[in-house]
Amino acid sequence: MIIPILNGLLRFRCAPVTWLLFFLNAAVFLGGMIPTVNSQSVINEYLDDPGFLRLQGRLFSQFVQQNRMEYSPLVLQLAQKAEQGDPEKLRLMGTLAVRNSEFMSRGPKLEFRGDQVEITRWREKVANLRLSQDRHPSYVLGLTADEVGLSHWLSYIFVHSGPYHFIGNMYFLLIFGSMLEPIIGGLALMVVFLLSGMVGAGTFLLLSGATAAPLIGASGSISGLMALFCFFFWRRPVRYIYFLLPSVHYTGLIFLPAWVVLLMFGLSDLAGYWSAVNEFGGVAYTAHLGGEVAALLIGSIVYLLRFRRTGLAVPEGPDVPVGTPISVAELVTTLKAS
Amino acid sequence: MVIEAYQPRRSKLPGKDGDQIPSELDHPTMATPWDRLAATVIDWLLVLAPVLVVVGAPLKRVMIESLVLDSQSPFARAIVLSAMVGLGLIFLYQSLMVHFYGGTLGKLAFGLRVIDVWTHKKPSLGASMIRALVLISEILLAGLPWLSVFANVRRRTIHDRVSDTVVISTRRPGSLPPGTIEATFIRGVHSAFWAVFALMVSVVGIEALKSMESEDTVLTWLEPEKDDSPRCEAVSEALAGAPQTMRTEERLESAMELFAAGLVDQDCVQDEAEWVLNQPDGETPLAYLARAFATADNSELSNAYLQKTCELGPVSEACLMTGIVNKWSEENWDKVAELFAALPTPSSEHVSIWKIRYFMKQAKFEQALHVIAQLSGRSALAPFLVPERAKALWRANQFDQSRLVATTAFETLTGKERLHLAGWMCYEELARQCTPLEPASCDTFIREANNQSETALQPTGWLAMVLLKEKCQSQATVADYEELKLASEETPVEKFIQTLELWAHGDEDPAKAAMIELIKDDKQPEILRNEGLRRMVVWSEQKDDMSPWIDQWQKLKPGHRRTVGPVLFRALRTKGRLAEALNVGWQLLDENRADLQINRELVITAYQLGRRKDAWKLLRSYRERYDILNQSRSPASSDEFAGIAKVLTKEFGEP
Repeated sequence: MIIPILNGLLRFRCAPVTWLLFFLNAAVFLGGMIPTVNSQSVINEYLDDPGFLRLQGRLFSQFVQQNRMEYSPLVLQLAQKAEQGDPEKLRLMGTLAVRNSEFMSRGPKLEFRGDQVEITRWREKVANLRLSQDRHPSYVLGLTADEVGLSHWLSYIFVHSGPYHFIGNMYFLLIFGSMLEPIIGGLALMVVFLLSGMVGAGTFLLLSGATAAPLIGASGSISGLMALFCFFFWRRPVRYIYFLLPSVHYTGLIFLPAWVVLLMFGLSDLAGYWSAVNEFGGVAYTAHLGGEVAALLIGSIVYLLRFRRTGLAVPEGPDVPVGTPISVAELVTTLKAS
Repeated sequence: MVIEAYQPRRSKLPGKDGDQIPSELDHPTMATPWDRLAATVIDWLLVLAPVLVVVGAPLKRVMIESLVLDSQSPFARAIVLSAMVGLGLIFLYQSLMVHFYGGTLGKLAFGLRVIDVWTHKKPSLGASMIRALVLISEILLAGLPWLSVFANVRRRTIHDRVSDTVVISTRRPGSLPPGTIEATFIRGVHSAFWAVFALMVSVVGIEALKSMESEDTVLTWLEPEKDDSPRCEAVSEALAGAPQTMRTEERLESAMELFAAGLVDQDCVQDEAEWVLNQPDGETPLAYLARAFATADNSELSNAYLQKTCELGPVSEACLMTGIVNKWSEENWDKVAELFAALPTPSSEHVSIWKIRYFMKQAKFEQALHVIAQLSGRSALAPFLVPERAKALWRANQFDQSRLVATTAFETLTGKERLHLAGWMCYEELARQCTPLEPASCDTFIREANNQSETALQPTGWLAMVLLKEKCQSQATVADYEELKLASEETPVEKFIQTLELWAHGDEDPAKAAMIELIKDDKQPEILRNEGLRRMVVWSEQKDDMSPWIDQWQKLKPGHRRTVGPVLFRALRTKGRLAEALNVGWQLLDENRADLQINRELVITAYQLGRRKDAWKLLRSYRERYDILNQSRSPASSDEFAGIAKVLTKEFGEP
């Protein structure tokens, strides 16, 4: 395992915007905890109910068959199998239905074939489910098929699904923010953070498409900060912490070029995007990639306009954990010699 | 051999041409196993894994889609392709890096080098490729051969030895050859692994051979693949192998019949009704009625289905059946009879089965027999109809006819149904006649009970026999067979029987201890705990404290007090504990559970205690209840009770 720790954390006065962004995210996360828990418990109650999912799967299968042009071959085949009564496929279709905003909004008003008593009860449950979603911060602030306005392109950045999501994102926000803010300034950092997030949202809408399940989290924005950092520092060795075996000899700090970070994150996002089945959701790799591309573009433009001649004012010296630029050949030689 | 000439920890490697040894290898020592492991972690997790994840991403997508759609061939293709791509990349990475750089990135990072043991230079391309190939084969053995790095004297794994290479360290002090303990331990681990592996292969092989020999297995393989749509198997069998996707309405009818007969559970009806309802134009009153039965545990939902049944077909048979269901649950039997009479004839077979149940419940055995006769052609319903016929005949006092039906049924019914019928018949035979008969039903029961794997059924019958034997000996009240059957379904009753056997063998103290434990165990069925209490009262000795049993008795449900109360009352009287006996008896009297004899004994008890006024009140109650004023003047009036009654009448006047 290897994680960039770069410059570590800077004090508030050295990286105020980074810390402000952190506090803003934390405030939204903490403020939304109670409504999230309350709404989520209701939503989970339905999603954990096999009878509800089974019926919903059956109805969604009928819906898909009636609107064949709008669905992928995978969903069409699934719907066909579900209609034959395969319980596993019915459950899966029931889960997919929750992500399908068209079905969730129009479905309860349509007539379906089947047990009308159950269908009536299902309609009541869907109404309750949507009521709970309307109170859920992820649905209120997140980017869903029903809420694709520009305000949601920004607000989704500040919402996180749970503590692990929040902690993971905030670690990298503070690490990359602390590294970048002293160099590019607070305002520029803020602009890159928000712009990357918005481009991430746009890329997500373009490549993955909005669903009834909300897109949330600052990872698109943070991917942007990470990419910009890599662009500026590209060949300079920066600090990583590694853990190979549970022994002091195999744990420690190492300096590797900044591009290694982009390689690590970029490859992972690319692999995630190529392997993801859009219908099933999960991590929004396209938002990450969008944020990264946006930041690389910003970096290129700024570099061309401002630093092409003078070069970047990257701090150097014995106290700064950034080395001088290093090529791959030099890296190999250094590794062999170190 | 040159390999022998290679000496670890030498200051300079000897070779044919010392100048060809790279300068960083001036002071080589054997690489430590931990350095090699750390290098492997870098290679696998930091170098290969990200590349493999990216390269394999499209294949992973195919695999996910295939898994979701249960498409086996694309999944298998993706797996094979992924394995080939992955192993190919590993091969290229290992062989090229070792040949050109003397080690993979992980090895370079830890100052490890792979050298040829003959030339002490970087291995040739051929040797590097052989090394990579063997390494890949070791991966397929879960990397276990790599453990030899701990055992080999020069820390060489199999892929090192096959390719004539050795891994040395240029940076650290390096490693000494393994000690005896280290090497022996690893060899032990290796040997144990191969021993276990060989054992497992042998066991699996023998099992496979055995199953191959079994004709059934071969037949199973040859059988066409079964339809896995969620339909009820029992219905398919009842319809004599009709295709599951055909005759949907008929299947539902059949499911309803089997459910009414208690031969399938609610899930079966649920599946069939769901299937019907999801067909085009599948909404029928019968399908909703079936749903109502299937959801009987949820009264709100079940009622909604009953309502829907009548909405869809207000004059349908299914709608009339909903009325019967409602009145049945209210136990309004007159109304049920009225509704059954209102049903069109001939009615559906599932309705006829409910009629049989109703007639049996209402002791209208002749009518039940009439309906059973109408349905007798349905072989699928035989496990229900034949026992019901035998029972109805028995209850209608046609004993010989019933025995004949049962005897025939013992030959046609399957194990479980045969056991039930034989148990019931045997019990009834014994209950009817307390002579040591050995009817055919009892023989069948005993034989079946011994053969059946369903051991829970066995104790029920045995318990019934034990209790009956007691009844025959002491004329005591015994529990109902059906009630006992229910109890045994909750908890096996072996413990109770074992306790009785202990007592019968004269082991009184262990029997008492076991019975006390059973009485206090809330998890035991109430009927057994009450039977236990009754026995404890009977078994109690003069010196025993009866208070716990009185307390326990007072906690009983009223129905069970009637059984235990008289026994407790008499035991208390016998032990001379008249005050306690009077309290128990009075309670029985208040609950209207004291019979004539108890009432008389109560009068005597109160009189003996000197509570003459109470005795007079009890006497009055006795005469009110039994209206036997004249009997007191009968010859029996010369007994103790009559004497006391005379005294009380003289003292307090006519009661």
